[in-house]
Amino acid sequence: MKEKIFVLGLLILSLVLRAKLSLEFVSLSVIAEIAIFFFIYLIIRKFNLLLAEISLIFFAVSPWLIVLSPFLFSRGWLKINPVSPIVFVKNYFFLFSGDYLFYKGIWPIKLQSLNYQGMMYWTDIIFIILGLKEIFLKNKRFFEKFLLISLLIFPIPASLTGNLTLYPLLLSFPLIILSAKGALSLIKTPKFLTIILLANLYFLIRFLDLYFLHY
Amino acid sequence: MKTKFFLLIVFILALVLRLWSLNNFPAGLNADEAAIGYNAYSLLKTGKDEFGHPWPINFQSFNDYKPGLYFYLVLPSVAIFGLNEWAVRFPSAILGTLTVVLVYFLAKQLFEKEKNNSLLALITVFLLAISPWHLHFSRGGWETNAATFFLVLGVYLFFLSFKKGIFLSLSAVSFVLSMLTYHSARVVAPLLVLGLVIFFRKNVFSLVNRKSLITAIFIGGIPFVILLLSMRGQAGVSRFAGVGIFADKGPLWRTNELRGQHSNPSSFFVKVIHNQYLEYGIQFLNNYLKHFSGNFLFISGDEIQRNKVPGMGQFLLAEIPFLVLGLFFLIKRKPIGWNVILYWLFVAPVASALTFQAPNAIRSLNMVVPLIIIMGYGLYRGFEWLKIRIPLVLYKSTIIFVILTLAWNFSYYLHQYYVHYPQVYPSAWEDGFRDLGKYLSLNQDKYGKIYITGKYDQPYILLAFFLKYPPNVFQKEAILTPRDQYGFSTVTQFGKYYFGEFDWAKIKVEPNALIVGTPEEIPNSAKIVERIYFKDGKTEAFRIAED
Repeated sequence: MKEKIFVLGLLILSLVLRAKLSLEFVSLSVIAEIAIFFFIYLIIRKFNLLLAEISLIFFAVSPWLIVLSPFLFSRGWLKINPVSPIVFVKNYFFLFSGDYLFYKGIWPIKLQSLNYQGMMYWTDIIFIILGLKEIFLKNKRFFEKFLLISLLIFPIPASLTGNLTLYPLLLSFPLIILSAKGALSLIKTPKFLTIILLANLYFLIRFLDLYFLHY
Repeated sequence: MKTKFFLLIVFILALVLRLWSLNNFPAGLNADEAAIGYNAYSLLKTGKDEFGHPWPINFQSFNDYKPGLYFYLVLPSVAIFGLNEWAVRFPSAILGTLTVVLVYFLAKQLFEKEKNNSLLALITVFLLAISPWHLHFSRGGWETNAATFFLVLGVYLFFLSFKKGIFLSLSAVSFVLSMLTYHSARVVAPLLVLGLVIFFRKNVFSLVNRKSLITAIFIGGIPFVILLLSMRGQAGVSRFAGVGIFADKGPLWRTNELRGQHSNPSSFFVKVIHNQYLEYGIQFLNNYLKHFSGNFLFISGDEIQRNKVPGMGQFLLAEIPFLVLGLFFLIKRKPIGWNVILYWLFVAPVASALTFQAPNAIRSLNMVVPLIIIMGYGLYRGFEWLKIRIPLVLYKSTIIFVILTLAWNFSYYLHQYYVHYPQVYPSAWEDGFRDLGKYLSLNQDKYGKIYITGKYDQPYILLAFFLKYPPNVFQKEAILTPRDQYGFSTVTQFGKYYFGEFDWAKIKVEPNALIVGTPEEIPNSAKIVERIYFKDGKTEAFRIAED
């Protein structure tokens, strides 16, 4: 029962953040994205309930998924420029660079204030490093193996097509699950986790301010 | 015996790659190298630097107060070879080669428990010998290369000190020497020492070692105090004020822009969300992460032409798998020195991230050592892993394949360096001043005044260098201008030479003057007496015109 309320609450929170507090922004795309969250939640739940819950929180507040939520069925997906091998490698590296993930990113909408926001929060660096450590050391199970492989192959479509605004959306899911895994590994040191989560909250407020108030 | 033979081969390879045609490639001589050479020359002749300071620890130079140890290393070289490009670059090339040898012993020490650690160390130093990043900065009078040598020496001696206490003092001295050589080492060396002491606190603070620890603190302390004393006043702050992260006004503007978009910019909430501490912190983190981005390391490298070879990253493209494997095995297997290597890798770019031109291959050069060790480990471990899993024929052909790929990639680099680099970026190393110096020393008596363009960086020092202008005269004549926005100064006049931007229309009426300018400044209609070309033979570096 508790779990159901928790999940429902988070799905509503996701909707509120994506609807920009008014119903006219609720589109099929937003609903589809939230359905994907729920679907992924159900899958991860089979492996680790706590991880599934944390992932769902991270999905709900991720800048990446919030800003890109109206673009799931956008025509932007058709923009494809085949690239040379060296540009492919360049794009691939770019998707994992601090510039893209944390500092500036590339957003599909032209919004001045988004120049100062990456695809993730700065605090996610810590989670990602911890998560990587986890899956490097304990990759015996299918789930961890799949996460590692998806991290390596999911950036390929974006790098191949040269479309660095929408296609990286694929990469966002394993990265966010990875950071959730990193957060989960800290659960034994609650003080440290709280400090990072507070910092995370600060960056969340900063992002919401950048995205909603500076619009 | 076999190992020694192979080490000798790698040593010779490294030496040849670093010394081959050193005075012609890179084409030209940059202002910093010229400053090093001319100050050493000035010290030799008069016992004072170019502005008349006797035996300084930090050289005033362009008011950026260069740390002085490399100048003193160049001193004997200038005494032997005379004042030329070779003399300035030779010590750096030798120190680069010695770094290769040192890394062999360091890697051997770090992976003591590995079955075949001398093979592993050999692979590592082979990769270092052909590493584009290390090669580029060994070829040229770079202080950073010398500083990296002292850092590696310091770390190696630190490990030796577990067996014999006296090495701890030598290690301390070595770290301080690196701080006396280059700015960025002043940040990295203390961090590195801190890490080493924490990781090996049991060895360092053990009772047996107490005597040698006290000696080390005392012996390392003396040069450290000298360093601190030399950094009083302008010498300490000027460099950071010029290129430090706070010289970048971007984060400040960002804060103001964002605050301005709120209806009440001075409210508490806005101040908490948008403030310069946060923005500068973000800037630092971003600068720092840029050094680890694959594009910097493998694809495009540094942005500054002088620091990059066209079409190359800091490492060979073929080395990507080695790095991935190396990191994987390092974390998985945890060999003895794994934490030191990773720690070094993480602190190496800190100094560079504190400046505003990031990523910067010069300031973060010491990253090359941990990265190469990781790559060597990855290559070695990867083959060990394969050995027991695939048939021998396949195993051997994989080795050949890897060697061929590396060889192809490296020859591509050499081709880019020796053939295309001078063509693509002809002006990167301020080429043309040698020929200009030759021309002027033959013809200077005919003219009353000689005007030299200010389009190239710090022309005065290059001319003083190539004219071998008497230092005792120069010390009396040269006056530094006030600092520009980056904190650098220059000299606008010595003897009959005048430097700076000029207006052709005004200057051409000056009687009995020789004017040296770029093709953009001097029109074709002028009475051009000589043209000087870059090494590519096509692009004009200078036009020399009479009135």
